[in-house]
Amino acid sequence: MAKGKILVVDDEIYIVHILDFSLGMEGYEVLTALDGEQALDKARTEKPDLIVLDIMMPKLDGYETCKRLKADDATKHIPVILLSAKGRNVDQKVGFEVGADDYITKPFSPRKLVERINAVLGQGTTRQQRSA
Amino acid sequence: MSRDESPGLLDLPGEALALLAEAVLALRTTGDLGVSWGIACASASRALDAADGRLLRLDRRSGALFRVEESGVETPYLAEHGGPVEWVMRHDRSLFDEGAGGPHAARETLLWLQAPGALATVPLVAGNTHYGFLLLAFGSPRAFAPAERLFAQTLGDALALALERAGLRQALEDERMRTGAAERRLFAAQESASSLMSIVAHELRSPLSSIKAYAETLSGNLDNVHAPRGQFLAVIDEECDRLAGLVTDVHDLSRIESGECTLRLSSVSLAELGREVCVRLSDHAAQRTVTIALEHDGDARVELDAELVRRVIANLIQNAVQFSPEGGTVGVSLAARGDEWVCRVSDQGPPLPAEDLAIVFEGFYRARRQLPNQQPSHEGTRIGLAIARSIVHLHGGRMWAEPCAPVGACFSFALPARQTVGRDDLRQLFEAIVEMVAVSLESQIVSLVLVDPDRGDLFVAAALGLEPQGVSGRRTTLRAGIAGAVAAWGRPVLVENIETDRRFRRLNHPQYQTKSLLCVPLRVEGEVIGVINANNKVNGESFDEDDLGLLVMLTERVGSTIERACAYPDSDRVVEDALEAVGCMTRLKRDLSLGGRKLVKHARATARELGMSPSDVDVIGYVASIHDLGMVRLEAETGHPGRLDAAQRHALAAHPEVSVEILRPIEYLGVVREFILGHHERWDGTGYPRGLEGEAIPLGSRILAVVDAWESMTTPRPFRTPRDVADAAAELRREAGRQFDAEVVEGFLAVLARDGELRLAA
Repeated sequence: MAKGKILVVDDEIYIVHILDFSLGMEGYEVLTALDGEQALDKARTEKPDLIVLDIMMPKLDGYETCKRLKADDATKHIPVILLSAKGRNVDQKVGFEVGADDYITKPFSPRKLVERINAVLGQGTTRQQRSA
Repeated sequence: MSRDESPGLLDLPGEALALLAEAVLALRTTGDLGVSWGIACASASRALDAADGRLLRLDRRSGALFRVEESGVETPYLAEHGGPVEWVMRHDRSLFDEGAGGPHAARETLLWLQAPGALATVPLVAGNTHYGFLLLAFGSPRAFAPAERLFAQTLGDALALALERAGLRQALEDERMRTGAAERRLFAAQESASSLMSIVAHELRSPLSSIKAYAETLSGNLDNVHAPRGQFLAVIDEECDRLAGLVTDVHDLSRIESGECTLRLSSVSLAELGREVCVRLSDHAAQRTVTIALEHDGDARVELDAELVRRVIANLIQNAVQFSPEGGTVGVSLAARGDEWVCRVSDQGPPLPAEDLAIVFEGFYRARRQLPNQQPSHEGTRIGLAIARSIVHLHGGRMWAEPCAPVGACFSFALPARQTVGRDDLRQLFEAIVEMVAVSLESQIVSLVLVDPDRGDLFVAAALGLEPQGVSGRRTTLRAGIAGAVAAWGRPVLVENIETDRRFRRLNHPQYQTKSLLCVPLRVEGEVIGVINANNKVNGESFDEDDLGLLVMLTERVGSTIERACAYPDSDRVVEDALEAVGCMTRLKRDLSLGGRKLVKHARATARELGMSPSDVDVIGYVASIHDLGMVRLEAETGHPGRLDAAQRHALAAHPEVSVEILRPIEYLGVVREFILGHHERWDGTGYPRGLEGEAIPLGSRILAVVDAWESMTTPRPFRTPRDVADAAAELRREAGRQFDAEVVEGFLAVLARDGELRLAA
C-alpha cells in the first residue's frame, strides 16, 4: 500500500517527471499538475496528503495557489512545500506568510526533498537510508 | 570738457530724472525679466513720451532673438533684414531714428501694432556681453535731445544688468537641473542592470534544477533496472543545450543593451525581408504541421540592420509556431505605413491573458498561454522576446502584443522607415558643415553624430570619408566608442595617436583605421546634442592643440546655428543663410586656398607669444581661418582676384565688411566681427575701412594683418612669385610702425625663429 498521496505542481515538465519517479520509488502515490488552477482542482478532488508547489508558474503562481489552498476548509490541512528558483529571504518570508509548511530552493536535491516530505508526513527514513 | 560738449543727465527735466532714478533702483532689486521690462517701459513712456516699447533678449550662444513680454513669456523674433536691430548689433551702439526716412523706413514693423514715426534702438550691454535690445517707438517723427539719448542708454544699461542677473539665476537653475537629471539617469541604468542580472540568475536556475535533479537521481539509481536511465541522460543532455543557448542569448542581450552592438544599416524591400525569414523557418513550421502565410507591401524599402531585424521576426514566428495548434496558420504581415513600417505575427493558439500584454517582453516572462500539447517549450529561451525588443528599440521602434480575433495572439513591432534625421534642410546643413570641417582641418574623415535623447543613443547625421554603405544613420548607444564617451563627458578630446593613447585605445573601431582624431561635443542651449569627429589628417600628420582649438570654435558655431534653426522652425532664411556662410567657408579654403592651417598656426602662436589668454588664442585662430570670407563672394562676382580694375579694387577694399556680412548668420561674438573688420587697418591710420590708428585697431586684427602679409608674401600664387623668407621678414620689419604694429611683427618673427621657419638676424 502507498505511503501516501503527493501532488506535485510545476510547469517544468521534466521536474514533474523526475519527482514522479523519485517519490514513486519511495512508495508514494504521485499526482501531477502543471499550473495553479489544475492544482486547486486536484487538491479538492483527490485530497492528497502533501503538496509540492512551484512558485513561478503560469495562470496562478505558487503563492496565490498556496493562499487559496489555505483559505479553503477542504484543503487547508494539507501540508505545502514550496519549490522555487527564488532563493532570497524575502521570498521565504512571503512563502511562510501565505501558509506554506516548508520551503526548498531550486536547484534542489530530490533526495533532500524526499527527506523533508517524510519529515512533514511523520514517515521514518528514506529508501536509501533503509537500504544502507 | 564743457557741459555743452558733454550733455549730462542733469539736462533732463526734474521729473524725467526722478523717473530714471526710480527705474534704475527698481531694476536693481528685481530678478524677474518681465517685471524689469514693465518698469523700464513705464518709465520711458512717461519721461520720453514713447508710444510703445519692446525688449528683445539676445541668446548669446545661438544669436537668436526673443521678444520678452511683461508676463515673462518669450517668443522668437527674427530681426528685419537691414533693419535697426541688425545695424545696432553690428555697430554696438544705439540708433536713434528720428523719422527722416519717412513712415516706411525699416523699424522692425512686426513688433508694433502701429508703424512708429520714430524709433530708438538701444543695445543692452553689461561687461562685454550683449544681452539684447531696448526698442522705444514714438507715434510721430521727433528729434532726440542729447539728454534724452542718454536717458534711453542709461535705462538700457540698467536693463542689461537686470538681464545679466536673470541669466545667472537661470544658469544656476539649469546646472541644478542637469545634475539632478544625470543622477536619475545613473540610477535608472543601475536599476536596469540589476534587473537584468536577476532575470539571468532566474533563467539559469531552471535548466540547472533539471540537470541537478536528474543527475542526482541517476547516481542514486545506477543499479535500478526500473529507472529509465537513458531518458534521464537525454534530459540532462537537452537541458545542457538549453543552458548553452541561454548563455549565448544573455551575451547577445547584454551586448545590445551595453551598446557594443551598433546597427549596420542597409536598405531592403519588405518583400525580400519577409521572404528570407519565412523560407528559413518554413521547414521548422512544417514539422509541426503549421503553415506560414506571408503578406507584404512588396517594393516599399526600409532602412534597417537586416540581420538583427530578421532575427526579431524569426523569434516572433518561432514563438507563434510553438503556440499554434496542429494544422494551424501563422500569419506574417509586413506593411509600410507612412514614416514607419509594421510587422505583425499572429497565431491561432490559446489566448494571451490580458494582464500579460504589458509584461510579455520582460526577460523573465513566461508565457501563461498553455501549449497545445503540454510539451516542454524549450525552443528559444524566455529572453528571446527581451532581445527582440532591445533590437527594436535600437532601431527607434516599439513592440507590443495583443489578443488576436477570434483566437490566438498577435505580436507586432513598428520601426521608422528611415533611420536618419527628419528635416531635409537640416540634413543639408549637416552635410555642408561636415564638408567645411573636413576642408578646414584637412581631415580625411569627418562625421557629425547626434544624440537621440528619446533613445539615449547616437546616430551619424552626416559623414564624409567613411565608406558610404551603412554610415549615414549608423546608430550606437551613448556609452559606446569615443564619440559616446565625449558626448557623455562633455569635453573635447584630442588623440594624437590612438595606438599609444591609454584612454581610448580600446574604443578604437578597426573599421575607421584611425590614427589621430579630434572629437568635440556639440552643445545647444548648454546641453550636449552630439559630437563632431575628425579623424586622420590628409597629410598623415597628427592633430594638435591648434586643430582642436579651431574645431572647438567651429563646433560652437555649428551648435548656435542648429539652435537658431530650431528657434525659428518656420523660417527658411535661418538655415539658408547658415548654409551660405558654411559653403563660403568651404570654398574659401578649397577653391581659394585661403585661411589654411599654416595661417591658423601662425596666428595662434603669435597670439600666445603676445600673452593672450587661451580662449583669445582660440578666437584668433578661428578668425585667421575665416577672415577672408568676403573674397569668396568677390571671386564669384569678379572672376579671379588676380587682375583688378578700379571698381574691383574698390570692391576688394570692402571685403572685410563682406566677410562680416557673410558670417553674420553663424557668428555671435562681436569680437570676431571686430577682428575681421580691422584686419586691413594700418598702424599709421591709412588703412580701410575705418581708418583706425595704432592701438585703436583691435590686437587680433593687428596680428591678422601681419600673419596675412607673411602668408601672401611667401605662398606661391598664380600671379605672384613667392619671396624668400628672409626678404619677407625684412619687409615686415620695414613696415613695422607704418602698416604693422612693431610689437606684433617682432612677436611673429620670434615665433618663426623658434619654429625653425626663419633664421633671425640678430
